[in-house]
Amino acid sequence: MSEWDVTALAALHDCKQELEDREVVRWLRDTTRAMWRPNAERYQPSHLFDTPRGVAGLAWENLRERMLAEYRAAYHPWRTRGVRLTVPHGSLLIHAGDLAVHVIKAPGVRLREPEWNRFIWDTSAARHTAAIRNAGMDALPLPEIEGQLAFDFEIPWSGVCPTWRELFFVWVGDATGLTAGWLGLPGLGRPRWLAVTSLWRDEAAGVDDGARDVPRIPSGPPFSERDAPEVTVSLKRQPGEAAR
Amino acid sequence: MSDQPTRVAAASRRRSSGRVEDFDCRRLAVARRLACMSRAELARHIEVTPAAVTQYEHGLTRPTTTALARISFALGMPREFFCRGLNIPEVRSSTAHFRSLRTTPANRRAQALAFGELALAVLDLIERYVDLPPVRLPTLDLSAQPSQAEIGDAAGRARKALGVDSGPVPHVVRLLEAHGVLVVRLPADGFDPRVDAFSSSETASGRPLVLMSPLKDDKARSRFDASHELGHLLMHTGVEAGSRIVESQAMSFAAEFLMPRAEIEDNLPTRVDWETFHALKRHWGVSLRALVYRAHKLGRLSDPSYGRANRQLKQWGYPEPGPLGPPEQPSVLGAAAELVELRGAGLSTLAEAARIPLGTLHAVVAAGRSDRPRLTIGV
Repeated sequence: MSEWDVTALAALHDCKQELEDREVVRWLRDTTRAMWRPNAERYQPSHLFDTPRGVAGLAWENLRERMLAEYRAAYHPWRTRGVRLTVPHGSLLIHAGDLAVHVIKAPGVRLREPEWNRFIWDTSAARHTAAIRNAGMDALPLPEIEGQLAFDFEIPWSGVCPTWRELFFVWVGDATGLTAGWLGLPGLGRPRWLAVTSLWRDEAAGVDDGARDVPRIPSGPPFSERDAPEVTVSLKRQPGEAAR
Repeated sequence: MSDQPTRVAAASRRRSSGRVEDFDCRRLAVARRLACMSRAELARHIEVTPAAVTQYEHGLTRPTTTALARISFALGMPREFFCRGLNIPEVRSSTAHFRSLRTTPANRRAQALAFGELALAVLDLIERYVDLPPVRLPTLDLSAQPSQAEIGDAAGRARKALGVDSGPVPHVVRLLEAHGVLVVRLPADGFDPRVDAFSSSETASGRPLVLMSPLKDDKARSRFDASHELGHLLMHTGVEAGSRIVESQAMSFAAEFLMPRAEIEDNLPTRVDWETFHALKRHWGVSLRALVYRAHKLGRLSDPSYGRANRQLKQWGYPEPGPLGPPEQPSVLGAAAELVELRGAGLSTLAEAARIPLGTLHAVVAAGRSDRPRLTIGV
């Protein structure tokens, strides 16, 4: 677990609380689980030469379509909760109040926590813009400080908590169908994240239940090596045979 | 007017004078159904009314010698076949559990049933010379509409009563034969391939009968079929045959009989893992399809996975990958016939005594003969 900026982490927890109040966290968790389980089942790298990137692409679309389908359902509760779903440029974007939640699938098919410092925003305009907004760079121009170059400093502390409203929901899933999710505040510079907090992590209910998902190898000989029942067929004794 | 009764009696005598004396109505019914001919068709062939054929078959009247000659020609059986000889026990169609009831024409089912009757008769004949395994099937007390759990429990009790240890059943057909069931495989030629396996526990001879399909050239499927028919024999005596419920119950019985839940549940994968399914197929001696169905039924495979697995199985079709070898073969009838021949009473002698054509007798014995019998023969 990384050491996050205390202020950003506090703000992130406020955001998380707001998302929980609006049941967005539950929605994300339930939909991610429901979406990932069948994808994990059909993920077969050894037989079908599936790749983590391939299943990630499919899962990304599945999650978007599932959430959209629920959002568009006749009696969905999301509008009354102040939740809106959009898909700018095909990417899922959840608006909850003034929060904007982008969805990211962390690389790999494992349940471990992602390596946060390996995320980059340059490959996606939407993510890059979100990070810029969190940095407050799209609001007011940075104040000029004499003797310093424009990019020679981190975001200066203004004494006022910046408005961090752009959130990234990051999820992972493993080959057995378990999932985990985090909520993060993206930022510019390094580290890429201002703060990250866990939303959930699926655990096998216990060692036994975990083992239950792994097929046990049958014991004993197979049917073909077992003794077949004996069928006795014999000639009847003829009259007089008994006397001999 | 006074001699009217006399004239009627004379006319009756004239009519009856040409009628055959030695006639077995049951044999006519068997031969007609074996030839896959309706009563109306036979009536047209022999130039009598369909009602007359019905009367012949019910023993209300006997055919004339001319009509019998025509019957013999139409049905391809020698005249002697229709004489009283070996009794051919009846298996009423209402007691025969056909898996393919809805997809097979009635006359084709009747044809297969007639073959089964003939096999029972031949076994009766051979049993005069040979001691066969007595019928020792357990009685399972089940409610009229048993639940899945009750059926599962019944299958477990059946395994125990039949002496099956835990784990896979070694040889299902042999197990049935060891407990007195007559198992024969329908000949591939002359019978409708759509006629699937069927069974009846209510035969006139008292010996339960199982007929296996000749087309399922696969060990896994033959084992499941035999277990399915065992389910009918143990659970459905006196139950009207043919309903989907009854067939489904036999299916559940077979699944539990071959793959007991308590033993296989942990073996089954929770995802479509064909490597594991193939290993289980080799261990339990069941098809991939049966394993996938079982995994879904026991909650190991989710609905989407089950659907995906079935699409793959459908794409593979039959025979499915990883064959286990030729189907399990019956052997008792063939082995018993061999013993009779060892004794010196050739099959031709038996055929003559039973008034069954030798070719027909050979066909019946072949249907109950394994290529490589593995029997304990006591002389």
